[in-house]
Amino acid sequence: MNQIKYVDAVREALREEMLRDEKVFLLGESIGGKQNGIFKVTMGLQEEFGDIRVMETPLSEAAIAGAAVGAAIFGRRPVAEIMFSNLLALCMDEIHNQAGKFRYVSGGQIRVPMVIRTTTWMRLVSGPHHCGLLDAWLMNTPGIKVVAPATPYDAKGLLKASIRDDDPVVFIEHTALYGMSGPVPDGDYEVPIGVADVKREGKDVSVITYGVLVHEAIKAAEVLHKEGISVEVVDLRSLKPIDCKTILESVKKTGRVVVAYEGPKMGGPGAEISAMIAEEAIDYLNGPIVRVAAPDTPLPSNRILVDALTIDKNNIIQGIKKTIQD
Amino acid sequence: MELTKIDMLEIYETLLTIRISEQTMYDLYRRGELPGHILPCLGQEAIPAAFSKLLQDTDYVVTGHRGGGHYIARKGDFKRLWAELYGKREGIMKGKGGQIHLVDMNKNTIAGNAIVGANWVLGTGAGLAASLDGKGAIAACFGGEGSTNRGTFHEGINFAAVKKLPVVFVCEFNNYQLWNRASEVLTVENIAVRSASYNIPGITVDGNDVLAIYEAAKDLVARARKGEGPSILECKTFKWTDSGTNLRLEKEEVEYWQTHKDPVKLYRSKLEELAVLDSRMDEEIIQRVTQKVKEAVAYGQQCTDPAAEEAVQDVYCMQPDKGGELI
Repeated sequence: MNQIKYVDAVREALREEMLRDEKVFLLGESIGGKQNGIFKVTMGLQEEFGDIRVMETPLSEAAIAGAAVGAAIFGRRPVAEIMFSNLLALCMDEIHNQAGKFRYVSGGQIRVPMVIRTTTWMRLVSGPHHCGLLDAWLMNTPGIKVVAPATPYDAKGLLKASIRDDDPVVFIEHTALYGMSGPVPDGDYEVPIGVADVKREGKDVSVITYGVLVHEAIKAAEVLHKEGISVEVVDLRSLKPIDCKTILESVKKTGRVVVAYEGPKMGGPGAEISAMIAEEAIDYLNGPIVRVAAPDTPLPSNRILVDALTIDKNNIIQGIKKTIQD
Repeated sequence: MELTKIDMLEIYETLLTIRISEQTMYDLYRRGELPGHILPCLGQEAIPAAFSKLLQDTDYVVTGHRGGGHYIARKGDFKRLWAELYGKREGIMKGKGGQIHLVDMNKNTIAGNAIVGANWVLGTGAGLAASLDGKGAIAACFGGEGSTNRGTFHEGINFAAVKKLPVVFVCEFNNYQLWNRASEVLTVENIAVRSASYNIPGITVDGNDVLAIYEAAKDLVARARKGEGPSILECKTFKWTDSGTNLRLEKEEVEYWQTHKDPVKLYRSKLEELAVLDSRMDEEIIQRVTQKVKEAVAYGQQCTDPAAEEAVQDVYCMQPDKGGELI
């Protein structure tokens, strides 16, 4: 196993899939040339594969996503980069109405094997139009799959699985994780879409989360371990399909649950997860389901205010104590 | 390619098939015999008929509203079209799509999209696939003038122009956007002038004249095939039916177009003038097409309704082997 950064793991997956399958191509804004992508994820790929398979596009999110849908329907395997998840709003017709519905509306004739890579950029101070997440909106879209890896290993394996999947996948990278290193094996591997991973085992309380908060939850678990509280951390990895089985196994074992996610609590991914747990496992619970998430606001452009809205290990610790004390 | 007499007659048969099928559909719908929502292409049939001789099976067709004529012109499965119009399981989309989302992938054809303007970026994507394949296929992308007011028209065509994609963007200028006249929602008379923004050719033709469309489109299709990039072809036509069943279009205006600018009558006269068609042949063709439509309608009527459990099928291609379930 090599120690590599999350950003490099994503790039390796792109490169290896392009080498494996000539139908795979990349498109997005400034993903080649001098910039190599807003976060340098595609560094060196245009040099290696040329400006057709690593295609820089006009600043036209609807055309990027729409062209990806059209090209996927007619036999290619596009991987489109949409710089920030906020910008998914500019191509939500192409994702929600087109990519998500074509297979169904055509009675199963159409496949849309495409990936939209985008980023969550919650912890920076670029304001409400660059920072945010539309994860719950995507979860509420039939026909698409939604993936949000937390480690370099999962990022590489899940991106490979997403590119090989015949359904449209929105692949959410977290900018706060790009610089994080972790073990990644040599050679080809996939992490299956729809399978959660217990990142830390525990017996008193389950924290169900994904993305950067997996790491905050692990930090919270380490703190609480010293206080004699044993915390299990379930990394969802995929938001759709969501691995209810793993969630329920963990909850039934610990009897207490905190669901942690970035972005507004209102109608967020945790609302769905909490409701599912209540439906399926309420008899196993020894305390209330606690959601740890942000208030229902846009994100500001000021560090103090951003910090006030950012979920971290302390919020998770508070949430865990709440479900234990009640 | 010059059209032979046989080509011209085949176009005529396509034109008539579209007319008779769409008119039958409209009449049945008005009588409450067909379910769902329909947008017929009555009055606009010359455009798909002309393109039927310019496109290969390996080319891609993507349309917006009123794409039924393109489905027929591409020789999409005709009986299964009618089963679809009846909402039946044997329908080309198993009853899930209906008239306004027609798809026949055996013919590389998406002949409908109910999001007005989505066609412009999807057509660009079809052109991108053709360009990446590098086998000389092109995409033809059709939509009304109302849909050119969507941002997708600009985004899609600019993208295609920058990448020199093999797409012919066809504006079916049918004079009304919903219930508003084109002049109320556009400040230009011709959509083709917008091609100047993308530095690509833009041509305006009589959209009810099959041969005029064919001649103009021929050069633009050839241009796309040679890798010289996209273009805009604007076909001036008129929709005989509005976006519902309430017929709020001006009666006199519709009658004017039906009397003086009916694409079927105009093309028939032209073929008679060219001595390609005589009345005996015409009768034969009309009879054959009428019979074909009659048989397809009868087939559609007797097909089976989908079972309720089919409502949750065909959402995804791939279910996970383990972990989460999708539906």
